[in-house]
Amino acid sequence: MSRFVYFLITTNMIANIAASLPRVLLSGSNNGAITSMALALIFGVFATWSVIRLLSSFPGKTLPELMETYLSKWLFVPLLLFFAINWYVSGLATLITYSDILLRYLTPEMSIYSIVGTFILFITFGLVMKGRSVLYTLEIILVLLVPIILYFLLKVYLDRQLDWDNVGVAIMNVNSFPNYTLFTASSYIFLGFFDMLYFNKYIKKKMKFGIKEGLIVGGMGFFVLFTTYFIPIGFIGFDGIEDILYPWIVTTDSIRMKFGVVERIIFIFLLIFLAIAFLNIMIHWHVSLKFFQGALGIDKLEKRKKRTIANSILIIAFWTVSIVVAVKITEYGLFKYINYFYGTLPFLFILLMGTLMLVKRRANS
Amino acid sequence: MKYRRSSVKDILLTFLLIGTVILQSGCAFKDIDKRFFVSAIGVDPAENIENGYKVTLKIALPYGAIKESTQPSYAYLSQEGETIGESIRMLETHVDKVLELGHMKVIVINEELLSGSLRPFMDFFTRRGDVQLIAYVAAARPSAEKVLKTETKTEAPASVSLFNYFGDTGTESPFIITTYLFQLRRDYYMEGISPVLPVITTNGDHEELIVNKSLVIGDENESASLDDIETKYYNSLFKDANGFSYKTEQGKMRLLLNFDRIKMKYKIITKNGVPEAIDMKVTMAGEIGESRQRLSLSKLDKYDKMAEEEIKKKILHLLKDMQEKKLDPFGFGLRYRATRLQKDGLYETWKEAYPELEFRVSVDVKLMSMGTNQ
Repeated sequence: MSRFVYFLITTNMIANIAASLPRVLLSGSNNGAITSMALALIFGVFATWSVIRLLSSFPGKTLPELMETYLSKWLFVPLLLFFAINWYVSGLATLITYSDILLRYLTPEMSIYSIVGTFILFITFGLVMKGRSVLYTLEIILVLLVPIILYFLLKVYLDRQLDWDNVGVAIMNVNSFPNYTLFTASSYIFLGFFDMLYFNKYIKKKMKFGIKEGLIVGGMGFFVLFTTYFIPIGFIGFDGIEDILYPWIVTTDSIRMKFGVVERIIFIFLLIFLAIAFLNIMIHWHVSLKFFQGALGIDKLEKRKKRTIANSILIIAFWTVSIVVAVKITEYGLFKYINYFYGTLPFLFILLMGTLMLVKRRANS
Repeated sequence: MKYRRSSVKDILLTFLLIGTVILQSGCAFKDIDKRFFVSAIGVDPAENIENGYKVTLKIALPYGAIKESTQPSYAYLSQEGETIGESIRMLETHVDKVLELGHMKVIVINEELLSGSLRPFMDFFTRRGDVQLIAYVAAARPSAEKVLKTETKTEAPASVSLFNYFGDTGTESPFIITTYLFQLRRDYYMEGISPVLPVITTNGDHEELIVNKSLVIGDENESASLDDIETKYYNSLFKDANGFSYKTEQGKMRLLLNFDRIKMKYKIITKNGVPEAIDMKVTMAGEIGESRQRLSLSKLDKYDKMAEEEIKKKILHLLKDMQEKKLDPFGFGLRYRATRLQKDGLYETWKEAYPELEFRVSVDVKLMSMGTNQ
């Protein structure tokens, strides 16, 4: 498998460590979180395997191109729009969560408009970049940041204040039935392969997804889920963790670097995870934009000027929606709607699989 | 044209550059000379308001150069109010600068406030994003205000001596317990462990701060204090503190033993699903630090035995004392929950059994050397 596939999957996983996933998971800490995570792990690896497997028969082709070639128009436009909107929302959820975190911890005196504004200003730059440059940006940022993240996680695991008895209590709550929301929320971290539906364009070699690749993806997923769920419990405690809005932020605030440059490690952590989240939003929106372009036929427009205008309208729509939602939404609303969003993921996956299988059958015949 | 940029990109780049200029000029950020850095906060019961609090802030005053000042300078602000947040809001009107809590590292709470529900005042600190969760929390005797206002003789300019006691930053001693704010919150909400806070006292003329006692906080029961010896045992056995020393006497012999490695393991023994006893194994390794008379290397074993019995007695005393008061600073209940599959009434079973629990302690002392002479 190309290294970019791993990068896409990793970014999506890391960006979710600090965002809304831990809160959803920990709110169900005595309601089947562990069994849901175990199911999600199996499902996530299976989903990645099946999509990559299907895509590998079309090297260098994007999903909009495939759908356009093999599906009739009335089927391909609504489906593609659904995928595009869904992926836009997934970027939006990360954006709002992180601007909320920024507002609470890093820049409490800044207005929400300027926070979201700066965010989308830079993301827009990523949106209009070429797909290949986006992939290279991804590579550079990951190469720079992953060692720091690993060091940080090592620090967390070796911290003496990490109470394993609390983790033990959490593990002892394994005997409860899985829960739909928790299951979908934890499968979300595996959805990095979704970006491949567009970035497949730049991967000319035939992809292989065998046991080795499955083990790597599964291992990463296991580690990320374990860290996301159990580490906050070790620092914040099992009882009363449901009350915490951003468990991972509180967790990092509980870690002290005695002789570090800054004692409060939370600021380094926030900046790193912000960078990864930024990357994740950029990739998701880039894919979403390309899907919109495919569905609305913008890339088929003849004149360059018309294309530019249509693209600008799309990007302005991206801005408007995100700013309006970011300003209007309350913390409770965010939590609720994110749960709804997670709830749609299995349908998204089923539709996607159906489309890909149909495309493949028609391509073979 | 290979290098032609699209017009969208040009426009965006222009926006981006202009945007950064706007951000740099203001940023809605106040300069450092418009801020007061609160270094410690003290909470006492209010004298004039019922169920109110008296909040004292210790503010480090900035000065130009450290060399110019001979002693550290602080300002103290006090205000009574019904809640902590309200008092701090009022204090903001007493000073000309913004009160910055992000560098506040010690929270000192009057001992009287530390029994029963801690929620009303702990909530203020854990809810605010800017208060560090790695701030140290301590109990004050007789009052938080007195502790904060103590300016110790050993305090150097540009440092707060209160910080150095905790977290092994300055002095390191098994008598000093460090509790962070997040730890207090965790242990307070967790069923099966009682939080422990260090107690800060001052000497008669308020020139020294003394930290060698501690307070076990009971949620439903009375809080209990541990004296210095109990604190030392608790800290060495359960918190991996270094520097445990022990004085043992037998007849004419008087030895001071220094232990550098202490290991403690315990197991909860159950019978028919009901906890019955706790098997504790303590291994200590160390050397002789001080003696009245000449010692013989061959008798090291004998000295081991001497110490073992007495240390065992002390540990049992600490465990039983806490058990009688229905407090569990050791987290036995938590360990019980962590090793049994969750079911309804699991913790209730433990709670019923805990007062009747039997403790079996075995101590293994190993003296490795006698120091530099016999």
